[in-house]
Amino acid sequence: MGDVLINSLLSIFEFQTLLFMILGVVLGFIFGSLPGLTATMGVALMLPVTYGLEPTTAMLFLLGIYCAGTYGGSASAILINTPGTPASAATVIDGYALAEKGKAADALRMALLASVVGGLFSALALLLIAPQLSKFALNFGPPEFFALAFFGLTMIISVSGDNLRKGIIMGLLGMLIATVGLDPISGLPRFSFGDSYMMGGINLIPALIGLFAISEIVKKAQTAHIHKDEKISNIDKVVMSYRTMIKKFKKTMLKSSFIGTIIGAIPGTGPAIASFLSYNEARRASKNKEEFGKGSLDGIAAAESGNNGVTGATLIPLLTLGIPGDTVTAVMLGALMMQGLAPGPQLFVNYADMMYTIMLGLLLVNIFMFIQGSFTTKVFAKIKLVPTNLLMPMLLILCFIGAFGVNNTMFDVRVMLVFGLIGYFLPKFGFPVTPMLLGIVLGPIAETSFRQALAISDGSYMIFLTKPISLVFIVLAVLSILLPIIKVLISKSHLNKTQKS
Amino acid sequence: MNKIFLPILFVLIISLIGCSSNASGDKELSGEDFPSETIEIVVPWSAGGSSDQTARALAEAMSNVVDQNVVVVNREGAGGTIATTEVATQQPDAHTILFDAVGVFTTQPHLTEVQYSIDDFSAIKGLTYEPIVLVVNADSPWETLDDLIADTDTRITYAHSGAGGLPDLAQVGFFHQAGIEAESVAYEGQNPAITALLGGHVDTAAAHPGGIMQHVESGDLRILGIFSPERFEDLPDVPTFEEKGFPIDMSVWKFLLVSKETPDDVVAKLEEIVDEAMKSPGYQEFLETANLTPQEISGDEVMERLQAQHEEHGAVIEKMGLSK
Repeated sequence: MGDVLINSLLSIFEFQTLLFMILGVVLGFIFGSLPGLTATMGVALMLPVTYGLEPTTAMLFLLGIYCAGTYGGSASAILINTPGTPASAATVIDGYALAEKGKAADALRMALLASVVGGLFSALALLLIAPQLSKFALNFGPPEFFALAFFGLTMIISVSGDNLRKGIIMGLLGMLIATVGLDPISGLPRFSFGDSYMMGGINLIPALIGLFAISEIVKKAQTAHIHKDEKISNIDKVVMSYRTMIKKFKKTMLKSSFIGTIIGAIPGTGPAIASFLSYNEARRASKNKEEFGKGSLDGIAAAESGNNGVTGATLIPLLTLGIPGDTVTAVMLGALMMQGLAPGPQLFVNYADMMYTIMLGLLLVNIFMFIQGSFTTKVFAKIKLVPTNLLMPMLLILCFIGAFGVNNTMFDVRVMLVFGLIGYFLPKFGFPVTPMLLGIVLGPIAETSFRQALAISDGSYMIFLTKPISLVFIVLAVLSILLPIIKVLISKSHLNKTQKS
Repeated sequence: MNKIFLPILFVLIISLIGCSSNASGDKELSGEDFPSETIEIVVPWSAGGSSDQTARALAEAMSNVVDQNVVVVNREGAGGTIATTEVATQQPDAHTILFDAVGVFTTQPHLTEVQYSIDDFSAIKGLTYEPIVLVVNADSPWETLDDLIADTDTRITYAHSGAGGLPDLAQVGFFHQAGIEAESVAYEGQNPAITALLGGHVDTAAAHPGGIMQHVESGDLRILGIFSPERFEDLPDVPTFEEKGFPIDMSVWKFLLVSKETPDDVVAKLEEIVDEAMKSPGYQEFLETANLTPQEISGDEVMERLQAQHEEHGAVIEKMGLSK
């Protein structure tokens, strides 16, 4: 065991390995921060590059892209109101509000710190308790997935802002949009109108770019000719130190990292769900709930620790069971196979040294991410200095490339434009777009697992209540719907009493 | 004014894109100077899966045989039908090769309305063959296939990679013939189905040996039978369903296609290139790690088998009541 660790450490600090880790982090940040290019795409695109590398170097290169890509999404979320990846959709809510107040630097630094904390926490979990976590994750069957998705959908309450009714409408609309395409259970086409592209369903990425980026570009373009000097002057104010951030938000960051790690270990979930759940929990626990949505550093800390908390844990089912939990790990599975390593229960037995190199290397990847992020946040905070009339056309081009690149089809570009219209017009009438995104992300999981569960139980709904994990999430969901209502009722009756007396 | 102007412009952009058409070159191809540009292998499934891995390993080997680059493009969706439809309707020249699997031509046309048929293509060569096996969790009460056949009182839930896929059809056929009451639980892909089996959420699953051998070796899963006419050489102890009196022959095999307008000498040249690439040590090594069996059948044979299995699978689907 000691020998294995020393050997692993030695191979991490080989020049080539270090070089590719750094390169991976740089590439990942670029992929993550540009709207439309995601960490997943970065990993898939760079897969052929890894064929000529040592297996561990290859894995750490891909992991660098993955971790930095998951973090990088926060930069565009904060600066241009567009989540660079679905994982940072929860960061938009508070990040952009802070940037508008001239506190972009604070928000960026908070996102970096929270991402690194989440990443390190998750890498440690992978190193120390991977086998236990993978056993726990296997307990998640259809009823558990449905309960988790149902609980997740109650987050519509916390991301709807002032108008809950319109938020629910948008959430349901999102779920409806997610049903387009082949029905996941019986394989029959729904809302496809006989078109083979529609049969493939609405892809999340173009929808996301449209809802957030395209609508924002159109909004910005309308005022691009108006010069605003006062905005530029309040950029480089005194920034909060990392030490203060740790002191103030350590509880949020640790709790969110924990949530991210658990979610990450369950195959079939993903960073977007983790960041929304963490955000929701931070808001619930916070004393300043009204600050959430209007520029809360706490919210950013939660969302970013949550999504990067997934990064290490997502390797747990891959390395211990040979099961890729999402697209990124599916590509990594491919990379390992190409290297002649079949991931799974035998991997730790046969290639222990390589596994430890990968797990320890993941810690180092997060440290590189911090160092590099500290530089880039300084540069990125100045993006507001770029004149809008130059920035917006550049972003628009990137959006088109990103949407096309998802599946190499123009159909996705059209999807993006349609969602651009939705994202531009509906908020004008008070309909928030974030609940719609939640619906698109969680709708399919909820539907598929609901129907799978009922197939298993022969139609009995009791399956959701007799399974302990499922029951816990159902209870949590019901509570998070009822508690705010009860609170309002109590304060009302309290008010009545005081008025009467 | 300004406020209205931009959205209108926006709508104009959309309609413009809607009108754009795909321009295609009209170069005459001949076998001698093929390939003259980058060869693109279109894979109708996502990056990282078994098809994608095979295509990438082959692309790597092919680029060593020819002077041009060989790249893989993933265009997933709707069970492989989107990419297949695109190639069928656009008929690109022979620099675009389509990687496809049997079900796209033998089951999908019976299940949904598709805009392609095997007549839109010329086959280059068969690539791999993956049998389908029936697996159970190691904790399951059924030690052998006979135990399962005898157990007609239990209601069974069975997992598979998607409705209408061959692992689904194979199990439907068996449970129906054996008179076992069984409920289908569809997952999106083989991995989630196997995860569910490992977690004990379903009773059986049908899958390709490649993705499950490690779980069999580690003692977490047990293979009961194989849906092929003969025993599989890598699994000599696993009985076929035919041996037990259930003549079900379902296995997935994959092959390469090009547009039907490709001249014969170019198809021949492509077959030569692919042949040589398949013999390379790199590709052979890949097949071994990925637990894949090569199926080196000629283009003509690919076409014949596809026609035959189109009828066979259609009959099973009709029996299931799933026909469109």
